[in-house]
Amino acid sequence: MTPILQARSVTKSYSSGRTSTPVLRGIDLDVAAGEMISIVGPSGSGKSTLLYCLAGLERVDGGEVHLGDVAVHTASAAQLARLRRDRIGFVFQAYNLIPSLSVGENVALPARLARRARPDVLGALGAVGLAEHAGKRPGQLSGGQQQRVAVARVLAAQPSVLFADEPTGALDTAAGVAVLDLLRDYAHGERSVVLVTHDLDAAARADRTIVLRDGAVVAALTRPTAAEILTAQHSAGRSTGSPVAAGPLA
Amino acid sequence: MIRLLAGELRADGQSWAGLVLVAAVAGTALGIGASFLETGIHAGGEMGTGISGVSSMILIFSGVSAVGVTSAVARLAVDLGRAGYARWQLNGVAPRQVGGVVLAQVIVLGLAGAALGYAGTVMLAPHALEVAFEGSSGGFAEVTVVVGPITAVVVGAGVVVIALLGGLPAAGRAARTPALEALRESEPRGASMRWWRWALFALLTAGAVAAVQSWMSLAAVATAQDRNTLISQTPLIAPLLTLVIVAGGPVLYAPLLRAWTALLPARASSSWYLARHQARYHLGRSTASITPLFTGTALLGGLYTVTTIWGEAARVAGEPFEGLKLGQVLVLLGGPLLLAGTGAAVVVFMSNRTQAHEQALLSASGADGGVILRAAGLQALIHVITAALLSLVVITVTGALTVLMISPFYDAVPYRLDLGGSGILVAVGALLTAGAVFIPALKRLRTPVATALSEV
Repeated sequence: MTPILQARSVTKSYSSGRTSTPVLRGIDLDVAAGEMISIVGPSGSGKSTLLYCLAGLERVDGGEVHLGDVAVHTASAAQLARLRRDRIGFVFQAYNLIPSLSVGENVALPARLARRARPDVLGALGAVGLAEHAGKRPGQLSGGQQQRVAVARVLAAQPSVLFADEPTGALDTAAGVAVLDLLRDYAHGERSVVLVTHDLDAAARADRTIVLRDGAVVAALTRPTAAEILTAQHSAGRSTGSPVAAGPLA
Repeated sequence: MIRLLAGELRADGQSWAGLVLVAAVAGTALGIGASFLETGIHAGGEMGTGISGVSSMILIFSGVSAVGVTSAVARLAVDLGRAGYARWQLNGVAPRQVGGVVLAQVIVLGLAGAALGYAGTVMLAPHALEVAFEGSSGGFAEVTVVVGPITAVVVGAGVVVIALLGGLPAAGRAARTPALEALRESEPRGASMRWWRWALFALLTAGAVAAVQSWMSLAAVATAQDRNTLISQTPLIAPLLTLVIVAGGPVLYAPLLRAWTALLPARASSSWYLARHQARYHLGRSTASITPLFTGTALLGGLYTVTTIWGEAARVAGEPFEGLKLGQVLVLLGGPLLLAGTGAAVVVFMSNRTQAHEQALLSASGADGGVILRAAGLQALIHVITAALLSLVVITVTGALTVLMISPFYDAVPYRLDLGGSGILVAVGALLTAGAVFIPALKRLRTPVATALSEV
């Protein structure tokens, strides 16, 4: 299967004064069209940074990232903006909704920026159970509700690759399951989902799970159960072996 | 508590430095007027009366401008710290203590600005007196300017009270707002005024109406002896109207901004759509951006319109008329105009962090650099046009009242608005504000979105 997203030997460090801390150490990853991938690992393992680098929200220090025919690692700011507008959707851990726009306007914004027809805003909000809140400002909603609006915004934009950073972190169990169902259903045909999560049950909904530790892929599992992911995380913690390449779903 | 106060001042240095700078300029503008008053008292006699007469005009013009700009900037500074105050509350600081610390911050910084303003007065007052009485006979040039206790009291008390006008309600809001609500909503919602601000607005409106009525009654039965009294009152019309509008700013600006921006539909462009939403939502920032330019253009345009109408009437009547000398304009309006420029720049500087956050959010939503820059520029333009519309109201009414007031003394008084000076000021304001918004926005476009989002 042709990967829609490819990462090769991706490295990234953060500098503070003279100290440089490596966060990603040569990550290889392929995401196929229609596939849902989850990335797990302990705090500080580089999950969110990897997601940002894959989505072009952060520049890589080394290696390559390709999204379809676009070389994300060398793309100009304008190309990256087009990519975000037309092909990528991102659900942030901190929601990042625009406070000056209503909930409905937030959901419609990506389409407006791309000059596409207005999406079915109420339908997208209805899918996350918030249709009646379309006229409110994000600041009038709870954290969990804002999280669901962020999911609705991305779903309404219909991107080729949907990145989600802890999308169920602020949700109760039922709402979390509903959001995961939506993400799971979204990954089909030409559309893929890359999900970062601490929740192993959520991770187990993916086609493949990548386990990160200290900025390297230490395990790549196909359709694992939550228990298998947990085992992989623990054994990876004990292992000192070489990083594992995360190839596309067979 | 002192440690908390100092720590917050350090952490939010950008906002507070802006308030100190504006307070310093306001202090200098008020200080020059006060030093003229003090000099007049020391000089005594006819010369003293002459200098004191000029001082009252300077104090009125500078006072109006200082009230508008400094209180708006103080309010913005406190509003920008809203999330920080919410975190204090979450860490166990009682709401009343939060209000107390915010108030202490405003007073400390107001006093710091006043001290700088006093120093500015010491440096500039002698030159101001020289310029004000350049070419005048009667020994004005030999007078030594006195910058003493009267000046110190006017500057110190004036600046602190004016800063508190804006800071006090904002501090009250910071203390009253539940912490979680403040963290969810980065800025206070809607345009509102506390009861005392409504009372001040009502009082000033009533005062303005009473003043206009008394001028009109006097004009109706005016004799030749009343001529100088009435004509000398005409330059006060614009400051009076400006003060009324500034007092009601929080509830007057928003409907005007909303009304005229509704004329151009949101579908015109994505940039216009975003700019319009942001200008309407960030009302504290909009008010703080509009006020400096509004006060500057209204006072300038009002003074020039009065002089033009008066000059035209004199010309038709064949009377000699000198008009305004540049020195007089500089002394009367130098402070307010400098305050307008400083206020406008400081608001952009203070809002830099929230603007960076908005820009990062827009980038993350897929807005490209062009849309972001155009939206920032259009938002600045919305503020400039709103300020221009408000000042146009002041100038138009000033012109009409001037015609009514001096009509009894001339056969023909043509209605003329002198918008030249204000027009130039609006154009310069638009250029400077757009530049001040564009350059940092352009710079920020180079920062990766994830980094920009995590920085704010």
